[in-house]
Amino acid sequence: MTPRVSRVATAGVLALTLTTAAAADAQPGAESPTFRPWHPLVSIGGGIVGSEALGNRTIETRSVAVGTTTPPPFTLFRTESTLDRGGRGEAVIAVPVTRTLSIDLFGTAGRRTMTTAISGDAEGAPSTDATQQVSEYLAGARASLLLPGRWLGRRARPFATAGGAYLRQLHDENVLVETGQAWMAGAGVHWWLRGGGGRPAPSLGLTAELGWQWRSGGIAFDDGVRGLPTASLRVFAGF
Amino acid sequence: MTARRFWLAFTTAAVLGATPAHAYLKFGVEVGGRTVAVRWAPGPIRYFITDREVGGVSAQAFGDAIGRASATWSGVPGLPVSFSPQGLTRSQPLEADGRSTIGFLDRPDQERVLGATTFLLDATTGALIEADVYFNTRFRWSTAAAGEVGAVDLESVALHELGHLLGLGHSAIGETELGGGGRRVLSSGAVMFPISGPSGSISDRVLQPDDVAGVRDLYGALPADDFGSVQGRVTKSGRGVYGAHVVAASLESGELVASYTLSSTGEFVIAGLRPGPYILRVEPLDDADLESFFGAANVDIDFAVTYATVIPVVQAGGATSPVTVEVRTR
Repeated sequence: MTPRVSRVATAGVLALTLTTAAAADAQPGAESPTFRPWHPLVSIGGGIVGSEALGNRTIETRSVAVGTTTPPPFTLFRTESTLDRGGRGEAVIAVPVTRTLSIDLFGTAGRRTMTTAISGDAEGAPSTDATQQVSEYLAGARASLLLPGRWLGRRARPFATAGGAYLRQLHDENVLVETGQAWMAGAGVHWWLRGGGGRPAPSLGLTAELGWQWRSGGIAFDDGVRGLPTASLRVFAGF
Repeated sequence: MTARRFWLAFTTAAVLGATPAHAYLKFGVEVGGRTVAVRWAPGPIRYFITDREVGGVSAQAFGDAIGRASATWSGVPGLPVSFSPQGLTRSQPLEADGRSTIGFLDRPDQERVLGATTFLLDATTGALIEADVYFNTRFRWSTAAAGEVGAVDLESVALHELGHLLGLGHSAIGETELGGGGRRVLSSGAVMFPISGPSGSISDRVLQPDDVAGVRDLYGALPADDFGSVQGRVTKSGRGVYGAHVVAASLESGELVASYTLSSTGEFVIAGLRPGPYILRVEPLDDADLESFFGAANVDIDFAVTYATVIPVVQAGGATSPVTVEVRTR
C-alpha cells in the first residue's frame, strides 16, 4: 500500500471507494483533469428528487364482538402516502484534500407535494387524493472521489460520492417541523470548461450526478428506511 | 333556588344550544342569553348507588361496576374532576333531592333505552346540582368479567352514561345498517356512540381517542403544548351544511376524533388533536336516529361521504387554516 493510500484511508473515506482511490491515484492521469488540493470548488445548481413512499395506513374503528375488550378492527378507509417527485436547488462547497478526493459540504432546498391516496371507504366513497405542500432541506457532508476516466477525454472525469445529511421538512405553512437523516451514494461526471489540470488557475465547469438516498425520520408514517433517486446538474467554479 | 330538570337521555333531544366554537357534542343550557356548557366544577363528583338488586346483579356488584367505569373516566389525564362514591341510598334515580344517584329503574315504557342520564341545573347560573343515571330493568344485565351472552354489560353502558354525566353528548364515529326492525352496529369508534353493541359485548369498557379528546376539551384538560385543532367549513353548492359529521383521522397514529358542523354556515372545529397531518372525512348523520345527536331540525343528511382534498396539519397550541369540504347530493 502506498503512503498516499494510507492518507486517504485516514481521511475516513468508505472502504469501497478507497480501493478505487488507489487506482485513480496510481494513474495520475496526465490527460485527465484533477482537483487542486485545498483549493475549494463552489457549485450551485438544481436537481430532481424522485417519488418517496411514506407509508400506508388502515384507518379503523372497532367491529362488533362478544366477550372481548379488543374486538377485531373494522376498516373505515385506507391511505397510501407518497412524497411526489420534485425539484430542488443545490449548493456544494468541495474542499479537495488530494488531487482526486474532496470533502464536500452541501445543502439543498426544495418544495414537494405530499399526496395521500384514500381508498376502500366503508360506505363506498370514491377514491380520493388529498395533498399538501412540504418544504424540504438537507444539510450534510460527503466524500467525493475522482475515478479513472481517460475514455471521457481531457475535460471530463467521472466521480463517486457518498455521505450523510440532516433532513428537515416543514409541512404546509411551516406549521410543523419533522427532522430525520439521509444517507446517500451517487456517481456522476465533472466536465471542466476551464482549468482542471491541477494547474494554479481558476477552474469552471459542469457537474452531472445521479444518486440514491436512504432516509429515516422526517415525514413518514411507517418506521424504517425508504429510498429515492436523485439527479443533479450544477455549475462549479474552482479557486 | 330556581332549578330546572333537563332530560339528556339516549333517545331524546339532547343538545340545548351547542356552538361551533365547541368541538364534540356537549350539553349546554341557555343562561342569560348565552350558552353555558354543562360540566362539573373541579373536584370530586359525589354519587350514591341505589340499594337494589335486579336480575342477579347485587347492589355490591352494581356499585363495583359503576366504580370501574368511573375509574376509567377519572383516569383521563388532566381531568380536574373525579368520581367519589358515597355509599348506598334508598332514593331512586330521577328524584330531585340534590344528590346524584345511580341505579336501576323500572322503565317498561322505554323498550329500546338501556339507560339514561338526567341533570338538575340551576337555571340562573347553569351550575350542576345533581345528575342521576338509571339503567332500565327491562333488560337483563350482567357484571361478569368476560361479559355474558344474552345480557347487557353493565360496565360498558355505565361508561357511556357517565360520559353523559360528565357533560358529553353522543359521538357519531360508527357504522350501522338497518335490519331486523332496528339498526345493527357494524363498528364503533367511541364509547359515546349512541347505539350499543350486541348483548355480551364488553368492548365499550375501554375509552376511545374520541371520548378522551371530547372530555379533555370539555374540561380544559388539553395542554396547548401538546394539542391543536382543525377548523373549517362543510358546504353543498357553496352553502353551509348543518349537522355534517366531520372525522379527523391521524395519518401518524390512525386515531379518530370527530365533531359536527353546528351552524347553518357549516363551520366546524375539532380540538384535542395531536400535532401532525390529518385526513378529513365528512359524512351525513345517518348511522343513528338524528334525535340522538341534535334536537334541532334542518340537519342535512342528503349528501355522500366526502374527503377533504387537502391535508390539514395540526400544530400544537394552534388551529389550522380553514379547510372547506364541498359535498354533493347523493
